[in-house]
Amino acid sequence: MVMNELAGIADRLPLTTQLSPEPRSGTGEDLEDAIRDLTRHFTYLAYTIATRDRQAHRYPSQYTPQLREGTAALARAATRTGRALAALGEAVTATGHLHHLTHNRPGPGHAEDLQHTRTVLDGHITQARAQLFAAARQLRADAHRLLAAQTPVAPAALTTLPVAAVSSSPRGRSR
Amino acid sequence: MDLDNPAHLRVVAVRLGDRARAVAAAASAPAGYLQGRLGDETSNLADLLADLTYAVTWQLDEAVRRPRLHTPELRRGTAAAARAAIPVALALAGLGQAVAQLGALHTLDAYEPTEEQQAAVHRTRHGLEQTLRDASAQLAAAAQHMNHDADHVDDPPRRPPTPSEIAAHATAGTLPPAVPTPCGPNPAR
Repeated sequence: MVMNELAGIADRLPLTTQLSPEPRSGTGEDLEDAIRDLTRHFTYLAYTIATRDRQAHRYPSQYTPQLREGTAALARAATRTGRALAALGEAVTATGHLHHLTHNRPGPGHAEDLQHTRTVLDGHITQARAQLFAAARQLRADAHRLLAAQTPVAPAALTTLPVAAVSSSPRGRSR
Repeated sequence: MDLDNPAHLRVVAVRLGDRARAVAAAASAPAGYLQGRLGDETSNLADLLADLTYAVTWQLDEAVRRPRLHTPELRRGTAAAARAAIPVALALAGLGQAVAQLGALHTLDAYEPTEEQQAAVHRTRHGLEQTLRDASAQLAAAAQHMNHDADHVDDPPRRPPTPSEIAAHATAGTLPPAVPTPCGPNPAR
């Protein structure tokens, strides 16, 4: 789910061809929407890691290795999501610069300056998109690995396996 | 927020300063409290970034709709808010790194408590604290800049920046290099 949401935000980011100097083109609104969506997911990731960490300490026996690995996968995705947000923050500043240039009286080199700032803005958005796609790809790989590791336990094993042996594998300790 | 109002810009500066102190406090929070504080600070900073982005994009739209109302004061205030988006977003990226480091600590918790494991926990915890301190420093600097911008937003008109000066400011790719996520010793299980 998180994977699809991150890839969806990356898909909705404005493309190079849509980057017009006119704010009415919607670049600003697209950026604002992307930042709002992304911050929501980012906060969700942070709270999920925090909650799971507390649960692991409170109920160590209920905390399976799969749950722990899933939590670690979400935590890893937070780095790329944060970096995507940083790139979008830079894009906001570049949008401001672009606006300023658009409404300045054109002088010598104005067209080149405009083009340069558009290239910079495009670079930040491309960077954000790349980070989000990378986060989604990594989450997909982690999900596949976790699913592959979930081999069903034979019923006989369930009846003979002591409960303590199951819960002792991932250790629950407080730091 | 009224971006041509110095008082409103100072409120943003106060919010930035508050977040800088809160992130610094999270860095020295005792074990068990850090997780909650990291979640709260991520949420608070995300709100601040969303507010700044909204203020800037709304103002840019207004400038097109009502160009006569787009005064030099408003233009300066909008530029100040747009500039503040960078350190806030970079601080958020730092918190993302901190969340990943918290995840690494969480993973390390499942390992047998060997000397290697203890060293890895210590190193990761130290890295996490440093990440938060760096994020706090970014926010404190942003607060200082915002206060400075608030002091000068209603200065008498001065020479506007030339297009080349504006373009020179818009430099690409200032993201810091990613800190490698620490990995622990071989799992005991």
